[in-house]
Amino acid sequence: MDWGFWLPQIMLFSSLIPALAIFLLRDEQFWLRTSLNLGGAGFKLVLAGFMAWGVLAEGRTYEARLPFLHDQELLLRVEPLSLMLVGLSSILWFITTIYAIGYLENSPNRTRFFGFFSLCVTATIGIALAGNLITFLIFYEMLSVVTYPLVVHRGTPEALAAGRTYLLYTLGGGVLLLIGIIWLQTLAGPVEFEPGGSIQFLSEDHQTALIAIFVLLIAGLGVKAAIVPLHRWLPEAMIAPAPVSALLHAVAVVKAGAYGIVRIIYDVYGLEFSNQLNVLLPLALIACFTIIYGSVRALTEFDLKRRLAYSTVSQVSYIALGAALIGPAATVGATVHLIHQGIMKITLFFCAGVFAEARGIHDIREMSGVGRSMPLTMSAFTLGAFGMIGVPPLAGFVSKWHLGIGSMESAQPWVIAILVASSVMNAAYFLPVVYKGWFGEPHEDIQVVEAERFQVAEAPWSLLGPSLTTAGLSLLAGVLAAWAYSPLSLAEIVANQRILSP
Amino acid sequence: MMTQYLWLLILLPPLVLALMIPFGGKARRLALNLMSFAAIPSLIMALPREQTHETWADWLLLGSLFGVDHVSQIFLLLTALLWTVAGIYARYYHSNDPEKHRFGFFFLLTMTGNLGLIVSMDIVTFYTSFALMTFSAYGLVVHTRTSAALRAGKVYIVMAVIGEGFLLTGMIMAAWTTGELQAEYIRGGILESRHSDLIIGCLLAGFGIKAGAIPLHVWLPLAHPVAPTAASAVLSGAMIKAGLLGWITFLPIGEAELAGWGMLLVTLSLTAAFSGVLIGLTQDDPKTLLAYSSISQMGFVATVVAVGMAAPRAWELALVGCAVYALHHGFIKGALFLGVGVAHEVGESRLRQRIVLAGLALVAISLAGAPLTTGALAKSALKEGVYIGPDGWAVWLDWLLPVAAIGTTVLMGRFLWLIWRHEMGHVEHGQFRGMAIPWGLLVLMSFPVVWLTPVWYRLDVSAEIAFEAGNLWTAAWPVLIGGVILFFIWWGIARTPREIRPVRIPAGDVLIPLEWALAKTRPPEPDQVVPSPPDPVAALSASWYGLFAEAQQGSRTSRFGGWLVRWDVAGLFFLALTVLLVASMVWWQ
Repeated sequence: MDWGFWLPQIMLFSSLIPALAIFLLRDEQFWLRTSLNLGGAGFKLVLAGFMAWGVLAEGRTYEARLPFLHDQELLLRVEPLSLMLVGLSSILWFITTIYAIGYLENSPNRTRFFGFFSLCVTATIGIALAGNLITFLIFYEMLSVVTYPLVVHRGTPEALAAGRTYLLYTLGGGVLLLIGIIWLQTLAGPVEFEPGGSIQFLSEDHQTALIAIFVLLIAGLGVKAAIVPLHRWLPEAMIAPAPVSALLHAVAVVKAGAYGIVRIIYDVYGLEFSNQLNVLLPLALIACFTIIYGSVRALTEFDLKRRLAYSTVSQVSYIALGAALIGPAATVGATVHLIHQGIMKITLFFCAGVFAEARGIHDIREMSGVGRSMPLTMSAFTLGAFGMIGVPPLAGFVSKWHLGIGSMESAQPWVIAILVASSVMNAAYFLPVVYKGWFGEPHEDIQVVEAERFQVAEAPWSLLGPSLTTAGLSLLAGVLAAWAYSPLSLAEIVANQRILSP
Repeated sequence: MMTQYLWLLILLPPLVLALMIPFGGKARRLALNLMSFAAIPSLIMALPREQTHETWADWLLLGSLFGVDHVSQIFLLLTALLWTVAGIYARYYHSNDPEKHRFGFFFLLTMTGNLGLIVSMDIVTFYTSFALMTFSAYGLVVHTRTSAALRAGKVYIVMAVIGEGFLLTGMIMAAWTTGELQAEYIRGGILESRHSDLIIGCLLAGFGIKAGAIPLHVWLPLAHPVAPTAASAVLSGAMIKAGLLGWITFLPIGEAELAGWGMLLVTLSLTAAFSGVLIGLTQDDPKTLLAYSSISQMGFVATVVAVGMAAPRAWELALVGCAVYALHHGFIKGALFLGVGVAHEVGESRLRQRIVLAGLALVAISLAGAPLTTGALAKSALKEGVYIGPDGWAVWLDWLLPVAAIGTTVLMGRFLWLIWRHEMGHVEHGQFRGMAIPWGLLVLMSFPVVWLTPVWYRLDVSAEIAFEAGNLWTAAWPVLIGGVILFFIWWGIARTPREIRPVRIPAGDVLIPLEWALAKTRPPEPDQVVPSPPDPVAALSASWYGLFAEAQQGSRTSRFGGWLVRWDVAGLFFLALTVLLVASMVWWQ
């Protein structure tokens, strides 16, 4: 059997089939649904590990070409960059599934939720594996649509309003992306992702058109990546249940946008060619503005999840910023932050969810002394927060360090000032939360409305375990950054491919 | 090879013990019992050895290099010893503290960071340890949860974050320029950068915050005193040296002439050396006074760092001088802080009071640099570099440093007076023995250790120089003048029937107007429970108003005695003396 052809497809079906099966179940069929969920997630994790071994240790590339429209084909390809997002989403999907089971059991419409949840991951895996623009577009649009039921899951008026905003923005972005891709394909024919770029041969005649297409593509992707001024939907969408927010901010939607930007710059236009078109500096400036703007807005929010949402706006732009800087370290910084931001932010959202579920805490001002009754959750939150600030030895530091070195390489030392300002502002909005949690005096009248549900003192292990695991991953990704199988080493392989290839 | 993992012996014991504490139960009890011994392996590693190893841990962080050189070995000795003594002391100090596990947790984590940064020889590992130390020490500062502690903690953490920002900027730029992370390459490489001045400025400021360099010192007089006494000792004795170690490890001192930076640093350091004394004199709390003394003493060391910047030829000697002075100051300041806690335990017993006062007097005159003390050795070691420093500096520094020593003498006199008059006579924890024994050991140990270090570590400083007749006199006269000033003040007090409310500069000095301005511009968060600091304007205006009000009152009663009794006047007197000496120097030249 040709593994290279089948493996990427099995990867997709490992979540698509459970998704379709779950839709056939009733809400009460807990064990069957949970087995399907965890079975699919576990199987995908094993597959991802197998593919990682094949790509990294054996140097293989897995590729599946399927005929699609007359001259277009669906192309699924596993190489180091796609492996980053595949690995991230397989691991975090598995962890989030456990969390979601603990979080949502006993609430209505579980079948709908878990069905779309699995579809959402299918779309993300598709985006990760996409080897050409058309495949990317299909899964990108699929992601927009299948995430909507998750955002509005609660069905409250606020949730529905947030869902409308979400759809408006993401479908609008999808249209921009579609126009951009069609325009590009009329000039270049089917565009595949090649490390180092695949459309340089157009450079003679179509300079202006290519710049316009670049703007269209980045604007389309920028909506999901929440680049200012296209970020509005993200803080609204945090109305969704905690596991959805976690997945939305760490792996699925936001990350898909950032990953798309990385793909467009490195694998469609190519770093050098984009530089010749003079499109990178404006993007870097917009990313910097987003970083600062997100941080400032986060400072003014007191709702924990909203603060985290604005923090995402700020942090995801690190990826766009790194991609817009020319230099190997910047590329390393951008790609490694795909993973680092994911594990750190998912930790924070998991914890926010635990606080909300166990103590009914939604506002930072209610968090006073919560560390005394929920030390494990608070520890995980603290690790995530320090990681976001960029304090070593956590993962965020590794990203920030490489982005800083990258900004020197590309002769833009002012970017360091942005990074440091962002660190200081991150400290300004995360440290007070950490302080309140650990050192504040506990309120006597903490809302314990939902707390009776839990038999365990702090929170059920299905919620605690995932939070602690991802917190531990954020720590390990930094402490063992130099290890041969760390995210950093993977990012270095990705960067080498893109800098060295002609 | 086993030696490859030896550095783990330094980091793992405190780290593992710290992580055992949250588990509670037996693990916690075990960790708290072993807390005092967590730095013992480091102490063994710090002992003089024939050859030093460097170990490359290529899987850790961005690739870590561990090891010690002849200078950092001295820092390791000081740090390990001080943390051990403080650890024993803390066990008794916190014996009745219901929150002692919290203290132990942060104490051990801070210890890990402090020891780790000494043995890391690359910039990322150093920065990691530094950050661990900085953020964990917050828990020590706010341990008591009093409003003063919370305010100090706030100022501390703000300054710490600013410091981290400076360091990150400087380190990224330095690492890019050199393309390496090891300290030895960084030091030389910084000068090749187009932005070398920016890098030097960032590193100077980032580490300067920890070292209490003016004007970044504002957190120090707030944070050092409010921490529990054992933590104050390591904050002021060991952790303040981490900033110094950062300077000498990463700044390109001795690689090229940095005249401008040398001039800037020497100006700031001398300002610190003098203003630390002046402001310290106006303090009522002996621990705050000691914190200001630390600012002043670090000013001495930084002056010599500045000498090395301006004259690379002097750096080899100056570096050793800095290390020896750091060792001396660390022990002495640690002993002074721990002594304050011991003084709170003496109760009514006259014998105990006298023993404690004698011990404190011994370390106090050491700090002032009296002949035959550790201070005399440290000062002569410090000055070795000054003599071959930049042209024209030696003449000045040879005068100014002894004048600052006069100030230190007066300051220490004030310290002993405060202890004697206000701090003794009651029992706080009832742990006199448990606290006095480690303190006494530290006092007794400081002399032989500081004296013998140059011999053990084969430094270019010979202990004999401090015994030469000329040097005896050099060490003696500032202390004698200080003693005379103290005598007059004591005489004045004896003749004055009543207390006079003197000038008080609130701890944090220049921070106060800043804090006030910030409070005016930014409305507090709606639910903010942060305790409001004493109204700074009122405090400041009252203190300056007090200067005149008291002077008028004084004129009505015993004018002379009334003036002399006041410690701020002692400070002014000291200032006038300085001006006089400087003027005479100018005239003489």
